[in-house]
Parts: sequence; C-alpha cells; structure tokens
Amino acid sequence: MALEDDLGLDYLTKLVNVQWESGLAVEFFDNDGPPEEPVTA
Amino acid sequence: MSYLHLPSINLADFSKGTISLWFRFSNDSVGKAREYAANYQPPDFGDSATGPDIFKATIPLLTFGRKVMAHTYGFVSHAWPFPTGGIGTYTAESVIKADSPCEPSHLGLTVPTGHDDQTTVALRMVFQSETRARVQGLLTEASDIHWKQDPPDSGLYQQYTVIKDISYVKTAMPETFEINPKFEVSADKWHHLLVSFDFSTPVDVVAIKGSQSDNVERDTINSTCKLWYAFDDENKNGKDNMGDSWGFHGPNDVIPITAIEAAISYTSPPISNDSSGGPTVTGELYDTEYHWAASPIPMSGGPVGLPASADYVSTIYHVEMGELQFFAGLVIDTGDQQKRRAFVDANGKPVKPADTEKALGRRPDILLHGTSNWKQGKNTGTTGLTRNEAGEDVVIDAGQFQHTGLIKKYTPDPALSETETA
Repeated sequence: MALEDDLGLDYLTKLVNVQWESGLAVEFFDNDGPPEEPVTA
Repeated sequence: MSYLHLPSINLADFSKGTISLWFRFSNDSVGKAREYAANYQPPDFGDSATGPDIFKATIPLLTFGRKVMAHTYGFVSHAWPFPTGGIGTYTAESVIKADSPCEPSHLGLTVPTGHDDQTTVALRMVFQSETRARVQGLLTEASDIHWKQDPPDSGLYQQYTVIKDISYVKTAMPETFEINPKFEVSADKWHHLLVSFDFSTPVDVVAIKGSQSDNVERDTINSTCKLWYAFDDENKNGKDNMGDSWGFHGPNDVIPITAIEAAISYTSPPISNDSSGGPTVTGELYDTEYHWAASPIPMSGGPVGLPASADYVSTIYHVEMGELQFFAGLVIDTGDQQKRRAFVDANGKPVKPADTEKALGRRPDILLHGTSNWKQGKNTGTTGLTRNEAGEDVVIDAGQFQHTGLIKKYTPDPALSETETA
C-alpha cells in the first residue's frame, strides 16, 4: 500500500513498458519544426 | 509536425465532464495562426454558400468527439412580374446546398486577426452537440410576391408579399456552446486550464413582446446549462469570462449560441417596407421561440487529438503541454479552492494524478501523465489502462494514442509563477 501511495500512476505507467523519461511536459511542432529523431535499435 | 491521435475512443457520450490541462505557446505560433487566418478560404458550395470556418484563427490544444455536420444553405431566384410590364427577381426558398463539418469540440486559443474585436490571444472552448434547436421567428423570407388591383379594376396596384418563416436556416449547425473570454492569455509561460460543464438541461427561450423589464434577454431565457472554469488557478465566471454563450442569468449559466440570438430577438423580425406605402403582408409571422433538447457531446467512437486529431493537422502550431486529465460524467465547481487543489497545489504546480484520484474518488477517463507517456501516447486513464480482478494493470491497446512526428521532452515542468499561488 505504501508503495502505491508513493508511486501511484507513476508506477503504473512504468508497467506499460515504455522507455522511461522523467519530467511532466512535451512540446509539439508545426511543419517548421525539427524532423523526427531517427529510431535507434 | 507532431501530434497525438486516438482514432476511436471507447467512452460513452456525456453531458457532464471535467478537463484539466497545462499548456504554453509562443508568439511565433500566434503569428502563424494569424497568417493562416489571413489566407483562409472557407469551403465554397456556390451561390455564395460557404461552410463553417474551422480553426480559422485558432491554436488548438485538444480536440475530441465524433464529426458533426452542418447544413449550408443557398437561395433560389424567382421571377417577379411587374404589373406595368417587365420582370424583377427576388431570392427565396432556402435550400440545403451541402453538408460540411462543424468545428470539433475543442480547447484552444483564438488569435487576433485584425478583422474582429479580438485584440489579444484569448481562450476558446467549444463544446459541439449533435442536436439542432427547434426555432421560429428568427428569420423570414418572401416566399411569393405578386400584384393585385385594389380597389378592383381601379388600375391601382398593391404589392402582396407572402412571408415564410425560415428560422431553420439559423440552425444549420447543431447547437454548440462557445466560451470565448475576453482576458488575455500571455505567451511563453505555463498556464493551467480547469474546465467543468453540465449540459444536461434542455434550453428554452420564449420571446416576451412589449416587456418593460430592464433585462428582457434574461426574462426570455427559461432554462440554462452550467459551466465552471479556472484559469491559472483563478476561478472565472460572469458575462466577460463566458463570452458568446453566457446565459444572462447566473455567473456560471451558459446556453447554446442560437439561444443567445433568440434571446436578443424578443420581438418579431421586422418586415421591410417598400417606398410606395408598404407591402400588404400575409403568411407566417411568429414570435421568437427556441427549444434545444439537451444532447450529450458525441464522444463514443470519435477521435481525440493533441494538439488536434489527424483531420486538423494543418492548424497545428508549436505548443508545449503536460498533465491532461479528462473525466466524463464528473462536475466540479472551480470556485471551490479545495477542488482546484486536486489539480494545482498551493505552490502552483501539478498535483500527482494518484492524489487527484484520491481527492475525487475516481480515475480520469483519459490521462496523459509524464513526459514518457506523452511522447509514446500512453493513456493511463480508464480508457487506456484497466485494473483486473487480480489487481493487475492491463493496457487497452485501442485506448492508446498514435504518435506522429517529433514529440520532444520540454523543461521546465509546468508551474504557475510563484506569485500566483493562493
């Protein structure tokens, strides 16, 4: 219970099996934005 | 260009809801939205008939719901023979020329274009229903014009104009709520928007002829819906903060946009006179009435997009966002600081979703929490992640956003300025 209280959905999102990156925000771009970064294996 | 797109959400249509979102934008995006507006060409259906403007001067942040179609009306010319010879024409009989999409339900920003009263960047919140209002007395046309000798065989002709009520033209669009406050939203800083609404009340407007009231508009509106919102942790309400949908009653009362038009048309529409003593008019002349059967926001099976779904990518501009929580069926009063503290803490920073859940007693239906989840489009709300009987978390693939283009981590994290905390 203590673990859930501490981590809540932060913990749940880690279960979704994504590469974790800290922080809360992102930026979206229009057509003048930088190209998508290549995906590395 | 980049965006998140959930093609078909498994969430029932709803009349009540609450949305919390952090965002920021730059003046560069404002300039691009203005340029788009300057070059905007609405869809052309001929006979001067055009479709609704979609995101003409808008920086979208969130779009949601099934596509709703609007009628576009055109007019037909009729011959009007003169008694002394010759033929004139008049236009009548509004006919549907085409159907075209309405603006989607969305949260966004409207930018000044130089062609309207808007002088600063302001919030714009649109909630689109699928239901047209039933109206009368808002618009008439001449369905027939003819001449008749009066007295008979006198050689003196009177013009007879037969009036037809075509108020249905005013309901070309299914009803929508438009909240467009007047206050400025500044660029290059984080903002928080918390909006809650209850559109479950049918709205009725009935004209009062000859009223001596000092607020006839209010008196004609028999029922309203409700909307609450807080911007940067400050509760907002009243006429200036509600804009086009303010319902003339209480500070949080809102009504659909055609209801506003009905409320200010509390006398019958005037019939134009001609210069030769005025027409003899027969036909349909009704006192204004408006009735909207409350209908939910068409959400089930519709797309959700950040900053906009795939249909609107041409109007996506550079914006930063974080911490989206979307609750269907939940209503909160944003004037209650305790409710606001479920989303923005006393230091002006986002509250952890787990703590929001504790405070409100339920999970959001859409939750984008944390940079990683935003980048991947991972929705950990009830439509994206379920908890099974064993207490395990199961990802719902159909509830995940598709991510297109570069979505990049942004720092600093969302926060209001230190002086704005209560």
